Order: sequence, then C-alpha cells, then structure tokens
Amino acid sequence: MADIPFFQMLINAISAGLLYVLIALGLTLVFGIMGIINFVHGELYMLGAYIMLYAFDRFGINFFVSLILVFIIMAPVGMLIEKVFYRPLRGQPMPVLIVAIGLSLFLVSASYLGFGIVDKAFTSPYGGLINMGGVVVSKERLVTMAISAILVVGLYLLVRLTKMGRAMRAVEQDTDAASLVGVSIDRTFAVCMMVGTALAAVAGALMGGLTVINPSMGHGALFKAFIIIVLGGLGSIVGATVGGFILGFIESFCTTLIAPEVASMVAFGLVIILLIVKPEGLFGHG
Amino acid sequence: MDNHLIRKRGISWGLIALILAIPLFVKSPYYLHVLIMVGMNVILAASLGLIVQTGQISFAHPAFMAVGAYGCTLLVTQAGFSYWFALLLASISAGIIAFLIGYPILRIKGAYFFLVTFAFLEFIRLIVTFFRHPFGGSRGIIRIPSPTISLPGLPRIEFVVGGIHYYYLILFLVAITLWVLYRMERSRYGRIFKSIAQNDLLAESLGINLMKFRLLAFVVGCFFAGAAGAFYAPYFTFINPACFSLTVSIFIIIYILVGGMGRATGAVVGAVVLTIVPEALRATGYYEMMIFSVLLIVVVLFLPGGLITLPSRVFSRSARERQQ
Repeated sequence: MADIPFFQMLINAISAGLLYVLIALGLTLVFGIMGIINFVHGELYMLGAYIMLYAFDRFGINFFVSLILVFIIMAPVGMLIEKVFYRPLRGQPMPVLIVAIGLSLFLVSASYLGFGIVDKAFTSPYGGLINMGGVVVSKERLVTMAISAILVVGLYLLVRLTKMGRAMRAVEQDTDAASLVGVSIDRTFAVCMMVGTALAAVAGALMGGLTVINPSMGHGALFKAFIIIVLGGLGSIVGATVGGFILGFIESFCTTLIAPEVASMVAFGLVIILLIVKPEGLFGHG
Repeated sequence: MDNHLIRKRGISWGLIALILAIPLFVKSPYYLHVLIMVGMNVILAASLGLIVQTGQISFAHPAFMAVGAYGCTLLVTQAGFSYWFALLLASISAGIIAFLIGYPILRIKGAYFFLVTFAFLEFIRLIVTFFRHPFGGSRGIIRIPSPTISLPGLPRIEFVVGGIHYYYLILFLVAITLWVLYRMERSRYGRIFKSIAQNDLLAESLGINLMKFRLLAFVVGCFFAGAAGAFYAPYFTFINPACFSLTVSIFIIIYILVGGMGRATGAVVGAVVLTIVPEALRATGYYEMMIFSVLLIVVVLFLPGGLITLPSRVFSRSARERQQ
C-alpha cells in the first residue's frame, strides 16, 4: 500500500475523475434543463456498452465509427423516452422519477433475458501502457480520457454558444417565460433527452472497454453519477466536472490509503451532509 | 344503516377468523412462506405508505429494516437478550435513528429528498459492510437463532422455519402495524397528513407544523420497518448488506404506488396483490422484475390513484354509459 507513489495516486485520481465526469454529464444536463432525475441513465449507459460490444468487437467495425454508431442509435431512444413516458407527466418530477425507475427495471430485466447473465468484455484497440517516470497509465485510459475531455468541452460549448443551448438555458431559468417568447418546450426537452441519452451511451461504450459488461453495470454507474452531480451542484456542467474530479480524488486516495468501502462511505457521507447544509453543491450558487 | 354496519362487522370478523385458521387447511410450507412474505411486505408497504402520505417518498426504508435486523440479531447473539425484548428494542432503535436523521433531512424536498434518502441507505449499507465486527462484512451474519417462547407451566415453543410459528408471529406484527396506522389515518393526524400531501405550503400557512408531522410519520413508519427487519433476520436465518438494497426500496414503493398511495389500504392491497401474483404466475427473477416494471409504468401513467381507485372508476364509467 505504502509503496504506491503519490504521483501515481494523483494520476489515478485525474483519470478516474475524467471518466466519472463523462458518466455524470448526461444526467446533470437532463436534471438541469428538465428538472427530473433520469433514473434510466444507468441503463442507457449499459446499452451503449452492449452496442459497442457488438459493433466493435463482434462485427469488427472501426472503434470511432462504432462510437458514432452508438451515438446515432441511442439519441432517438432518448427522444422516444421523453415523448412517450416523460411528456405526459411534465411538471411532476416525482412521477417522472418513478416511471424512470420502472424503465430502468424493465431494461435491466429485459437485458438479462436478451443478453444473458454472463459477464462480457472487449479490449479496446489501444492496448499497452505508457510509463512516465515511474507513473504508469494504460493507453486505452488515455484515449478514453481524451474523448471524455472533448465531450465535456463540446457540451459546454453547445449549451453556451448555440441557439439550441440558449433555448435550453432559457427553459432552465423559467419554462413559462421561455415558451412565451417562442421557445418550443417540447423540442428543447426532446433535444435535451437526446443529448443526455447519447452522452450516457457513449460513456458506457467507452467504459465498456475498461470494465466488464453486464446488464446491471448501469446501477454502479448511476450511483457514481448521483454522487458527482450532488458534489458539484445539480444541473451544472462545470459542477459535474468538478464533482467528477472530487470523486476521483476521494476514491483514488481513500482506496489506496485505507479501503475501498471507506472511499464510498466518505463520498456518500459527503453527499448527505451537502444535501442538508448546501444543496446547491460545493461550487454552485443559488 | 344498522344492518349495513352489522354486516360490515360480520365480514371483518369472518375475515379475521379465516386468516387465523389458514394454517389449519394450508399445510404446504411453500404456501405458508408466500403468506408470510405477504405479511412482511404489508408491514413494509403500509409503514412506508404512512411516510408517503406526508408527501415524502423515502428510499431509505430498507436502511431502517437493516437497523432492526442487525440490531435484533446482535442483541440476541452478543448481548444475550430474549428475542422478544430484542425485537422491541431494535424497532425502537430504528425509530430513534429515524428521528435523528429525519430531523435534518425532512425539510429537503422532491428530487433532493430522493437523493439524500438514497445516500443514507447506501451509507448504512457501507457501514455494515465495512465493520466486519460485529456486522460480518459483506458476508453478513449467518445461522441466526430462532425465537423461542417459554412461559411458566407451558411447554417451551421453538420456532421452526416452514412451521406455523412464523405465520402467527407475522400476523401479530401485521395486526399491530395496521391497527396503529389505521388509528392514525382516521384521527386528526390522518387529515393533517393528507393536507400536507396535497399542498404543503397551504397546510403550513394554516398553522400546521410541517416538520412535526412529517417527523412523526417518519419515525412511526421507520419503527415498523425496524420490526419487519427484526422478523426478517431469524426467519431467513441470515442477513447481509445485499438484503437491504435500493431494489428492496423500489419494490416497496411499487407496492404502494400500484396499490394506491394516500391510504394504508392502498399499500396493503398493493403488497398482497404484487406478492401473490408473481408467485401464482411462477414468474421469478427477471420475469417478476419485468412484470413489476411494466405495472409500475402503466399505473403511474394511466391510473395515478392505484388499484384501489379501480372499482370506483369502473363503476362511474358504467354509470356514465348507462346515462347516455
């Protein structure tokens, strides 16, 4: 334990952090704009991993083409979920959460029946390790981190600079006022769920190469995503980024120095305390 | 009017006699087990239903079940208490912990309340997993002794899994739970809870102390969750952190929503129907989960009042059709 150098822990923390940000990004977007907890986020992540497994590993499609395929397949799924299940319950966050839980249970059980109960895995094309003066990182982790960073920045720019992003922010601030000035709520929410779903799926596709794939993998991812969005402040992209890194640091250092359970205990303890004393998150305001 | 009342009384006494007599003609341990599970789910659903009546959907119910289960087991095995005293003490501990955690978290609302109760559930599970002594870590505690009854002048009764003892024990616990919950529902408290659930701001403006009543419902609800946990431990003879997962809370919430929230009867109907139907269909594991998930989605989208509103809906529709 003690022989793991500080820099290795730091690198582990940063790499885990970037991957966690990726997992939480879609969830925080949907919460921020639509005000709902998209409980099915974890299962969309899981489906992304399975699509990647079949496209890239079984059919031998190019890694990046497969990623784009995941995006193209899953984005309409998100739109469909919004249209069929969330739209009739708009303005009622708790029923939406319950329906999302139902969808999550359905997708998990259907996936167990469809994909089987055996753990699956694929290896990304970027094998091997990079050694930087005693600190070791795997190449596939580096590639995943890079894609994650690109997606975070991309989403931030989408929300900040594009017309759709402006519409999203308007709806986030005041749904009624936004629709009064001509922003289509239906379209904004549909796009928001499309982007959120695609992000979840791409996160699953990328993480699928680093972990085992099974129908309940979404659960663990969702739990982590919850921690992250609370730490950083619900609904904020910058907050999710900060939250992801905080969780990465907590896990890397607590796991190495004490025990993995302590890492989760600290994280969940922090979540409880934050929700009680500062629900807007560590770096949020208002 | 009087006749109606007498008939109603007669039906309920008949039902009670029937429930008491079930072990006389149901000999199969499997059917008894299903009935015992019905009882346990009724306690869990009705007690969480009380909390839901005040407008707060808590996902932490299994955490209090765990407090009851671990507390009762440790009091028996480590401290040498009798099971009956341990059952009571463990349930009270669940109530006390509910008071301590409920006080800060019950002011949180909606999605944030979901997150904080979820985090609390995971936190309790992690504590139990981390401290191998005395909680047994992720493997939990196994070979939990069964309760016994030894009264002076009577032969010692040893509880046997698959026997009728646990059936009557759960029946007793269900009776106490429902008695307390119905008494609360029909009293002033019930009406206050309902007003809070319908519009908490309005209720508060009318001078109702939201925190006080939410805390009361939370503590009472969690007390019975603790009792259910204290029953669970010796009945299954083992407990571990996986027995008290988020899936358990989701299932309890499904019972309440499918049955109908806002009334104890809804939770009871939901727990009874949803425990028996999957068993009758022999739908286990993923098929059971699938049925539950579809039911849940359908009920939330199309029957927001739950199954208990089904008869009145059907009747009012046929009445409307007759009028036309």
